[in-house]
Amino acid sequence: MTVEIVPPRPVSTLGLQFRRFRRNRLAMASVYVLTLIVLACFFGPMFFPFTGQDADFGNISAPIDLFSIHPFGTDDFGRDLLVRVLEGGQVSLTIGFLGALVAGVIGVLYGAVAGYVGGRLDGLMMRLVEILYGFPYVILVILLSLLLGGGNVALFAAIVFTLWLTPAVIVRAQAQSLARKEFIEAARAGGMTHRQIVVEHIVPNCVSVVIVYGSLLVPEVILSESFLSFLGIGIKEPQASWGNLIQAGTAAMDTDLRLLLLPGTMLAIVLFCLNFIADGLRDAFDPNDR
Amino acid sequence: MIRMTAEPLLSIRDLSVRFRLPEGEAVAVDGVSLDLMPGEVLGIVGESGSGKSQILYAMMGLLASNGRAGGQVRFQGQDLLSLPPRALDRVRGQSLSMIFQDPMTSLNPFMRVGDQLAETLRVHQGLSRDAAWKAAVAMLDRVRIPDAASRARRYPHEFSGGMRQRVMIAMALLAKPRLLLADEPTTALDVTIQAQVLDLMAELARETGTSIILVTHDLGVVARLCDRVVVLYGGRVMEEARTETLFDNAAHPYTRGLLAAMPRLEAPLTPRLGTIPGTPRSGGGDVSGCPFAPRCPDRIDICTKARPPMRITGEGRRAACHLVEEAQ
Amino acid sequence: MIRFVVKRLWNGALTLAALVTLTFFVMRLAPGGPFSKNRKLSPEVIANIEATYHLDEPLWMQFGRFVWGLLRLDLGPSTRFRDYSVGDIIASGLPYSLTIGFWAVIVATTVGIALGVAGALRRNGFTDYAAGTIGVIGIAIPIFVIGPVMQAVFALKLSWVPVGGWNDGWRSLILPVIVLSLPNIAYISRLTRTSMIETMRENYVRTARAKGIGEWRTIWRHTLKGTLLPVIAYLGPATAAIITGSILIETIFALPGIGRHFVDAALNRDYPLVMGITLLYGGLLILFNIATDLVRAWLDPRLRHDG
Ligand SMILES: Nc1ncnc2c1ncn2[C@@H]1O[C@H](COP(=O)(O)OP(=O)(O)OP(=O)(O)O)[C@@H](O)[C@H]1O
Ligand code: SF4
Ligand SMILES: [Mg+2]
Repeated sequence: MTVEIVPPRPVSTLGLQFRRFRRNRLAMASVYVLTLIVLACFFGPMFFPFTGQDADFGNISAPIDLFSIHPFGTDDFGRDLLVRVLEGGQVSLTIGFLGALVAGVIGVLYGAVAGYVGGRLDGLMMRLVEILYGFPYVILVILLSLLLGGGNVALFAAIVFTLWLTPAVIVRAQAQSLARKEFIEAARAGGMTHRQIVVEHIVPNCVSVVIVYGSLLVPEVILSESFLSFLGIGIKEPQASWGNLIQAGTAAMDTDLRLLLLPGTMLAIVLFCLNFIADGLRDAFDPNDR
Repeated sequence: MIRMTAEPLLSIRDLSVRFRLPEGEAVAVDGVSLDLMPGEVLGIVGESGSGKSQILYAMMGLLASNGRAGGQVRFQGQDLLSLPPRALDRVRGQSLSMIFQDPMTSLNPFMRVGDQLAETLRVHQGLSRDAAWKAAVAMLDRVRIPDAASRARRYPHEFSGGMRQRVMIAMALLAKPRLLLADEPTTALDVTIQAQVLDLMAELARETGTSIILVTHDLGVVARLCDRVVVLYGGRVMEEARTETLFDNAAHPYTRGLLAAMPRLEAPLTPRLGTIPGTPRSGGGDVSGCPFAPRCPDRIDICTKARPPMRITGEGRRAACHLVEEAQ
Repeated sequence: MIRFVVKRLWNGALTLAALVTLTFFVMRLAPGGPFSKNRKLSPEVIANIEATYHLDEPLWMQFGRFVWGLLRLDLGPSTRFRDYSVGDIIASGLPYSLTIGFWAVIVATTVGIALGVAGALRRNGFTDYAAGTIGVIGIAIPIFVIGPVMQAVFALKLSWVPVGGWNDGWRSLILPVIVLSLPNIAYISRLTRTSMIETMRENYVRTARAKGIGEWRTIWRHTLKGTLLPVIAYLGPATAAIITGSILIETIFALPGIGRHFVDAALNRDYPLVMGITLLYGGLLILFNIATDLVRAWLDPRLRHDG
């Protein structure tokens, strides 16, 4: 009897999984809302004749008036609130998606190498991860952003550096179990090089895990950014980010709750959407989880 | 149907098991009827997916949450399918017990083996902690667990597969049930100890006067232990006969296929079923004709159009096939 | 068992050493120093002060001095609050932080587990949806949004609880504890729910059902341990989350704990205080991770033998 060893075909299952995702109404609604917010943040400010840093001294602390030039009013410097929140969104969203991408790529490569190569290198690499895991996350991220001199890039680097660990661990486990699968052995026996195996088998088979956990990274990065900016360590005034807008809103809470609610609501909506999308992806890719 | 003088211990009438699925409904068991006499050992054979386990689960009230059982299962004068949960719990573990397919995962990994046994007695017979523990140790000893008294204090992961299945047997027979349902009790085990474990089970059951329904896809096991056999295919009964009759003179083409796939009867352990050409049908929707038709070598025109009726072909014999004649 | 604990303590000590070393050099290499912001002081005075704190010495000597101090459990005086030692500052803030952290852990685990179990037992019932909603809110709305909002509503508007501070006994605790535990309630209830649903599908739970011991006993004796193991494994990360959260909470509610000091100290380059708090948080986290491992080993006989 001959046994035909057929490698799983990830591409077709990927299509199936996305079809399953599209049937999830909450997740799809979240995708639409998120797209809308992203578009608004990046293109919305273009429709105003001023930027979020321009003070309109004739309109200080203007109230909400949807049909005026300042639809959501202004803050106590006369800066337009809506534009500031949208501009803050640009910063938060960019850092969020870019940060998740970079952290994800670093984690995937690190994990794939450790898991596929195995042996002593794996032990060493995972030892490092274990030590970094033992660090209190806040301390690490605060110290790193200080070391890199504060500012956007420093903040970005600090967040990425602290968030690549989880994808690394997950991908390593996946790569490890894949490396033992029959079709990988068959590929190796068939004369494929390690590079080919990694590119053609390991990576495509890790795709679903990476998508699921990558989608969880985005809200985490956004949360970290706004958290640090809230504490005064991240993005600094006059540049707006959701974190420092919320911080400013907290300070003015007893006089004007808008300053807190506007950026807070935006941040919460984005995090809601990202979490629903992540849930939807997990359900679509890993249906026995339910 | 089957006419015997004594009152049957168990009588299943028109049992069906259906699963609700996103795509619609799947029928895993379709109109199964059978009787079991006290002290009898009945084998249920069939390929993987033919619905063997679901019959037992339906009787035990253990169907998955998307499953529904229909029909009647009369056991000791009660219909198990319509019992309220509490009443069912007075039957399960007491007069009706079950051994599962996979001994490696069927014992609670967080509980001492002795406690898992004793629990049954404490709940059902109200024994004290000490008395239940003593009875548990004695039972472990009877299933030949070496050094049972200290072994009882151990956890399942410290036992080998064969030992775990013997623990399961001890647990199932502890309360001296009237009927034991054994779902492929040895398929997960090493071939060398399969026979040993089965013989032990049968021997203990004989001592306590317990009837057995033994689900298997190993005809060698059937020949060795069973008084009577029911052959299942696609959730339906294909044929039923006394074991010797079935092996000497099978009426149904499917049964004949199974027997032909078995190299030598006298071999102690024979290969599994499934060397009949074609793909086994598992719990499909309603097939209008004979479920075996796509794979049947003796198929005739009517087979795909009309469902073959169950015909009594002799004393305690029946078969569902268009080619089989009713006994006069 | 003892070997296991010793090994974990040893690993923890290594992690702590790595953390402390990294923190030390990161702090010193970061631009600016404890006194560089102070424009009123003349360069000579600054040089003088730096000499008393040994900041003029080469880095490796400072590190040696720090390690030597650490071995004697003496972290020296804070550079910002010059009359206080790091030990004093931590000792004065720790009770507040610990009280809040303790109650937050208690609330998060009890409420989280209860919600998760209720949801798993009655899937798609009212409790399940309620728990799911709390879960989504707790995960998606950050502490620093929900905290100030609750402050605005329950303290400023309704005056049910104080806005902040620590002057009203247990009433000062209510908002901080609720806000701090919310994200963990969310995680724990979700984790408990999936874990319980998975456990109820285990073969050994089916065996327990087959024994006819009753639904209650089946859940209590046969499903709970399997359900709780992953939840307990999460308590280590949960502690880390509570540490992170307490920094925010103490800032938002103006509480005199140590979390608030940390950000100040880092921004003002108060090297000794940063080192002290880092050490404390790192140590707490490691101890908690070891403790959860021990509890898991105690619950799960399969974990007891291999180190
Ligand atoms: N929860 C479920 N939902 C849908 N279909 C199910 C479910 N459980 C079982 N089935 C289906 O019921 C059919 C019969 O399964 P059953 O477990 O009785 O087979 P079996 O004869 O015991 O096979 P095996 O020898 O492999 O144990 C199978 O086709 C299976 O896919
Ligand atoms: S009824 Fe027809 S198809 Fe079915 S077993 Fe008999 S001969 Fe074969
Ligand atoms: Mg089965």
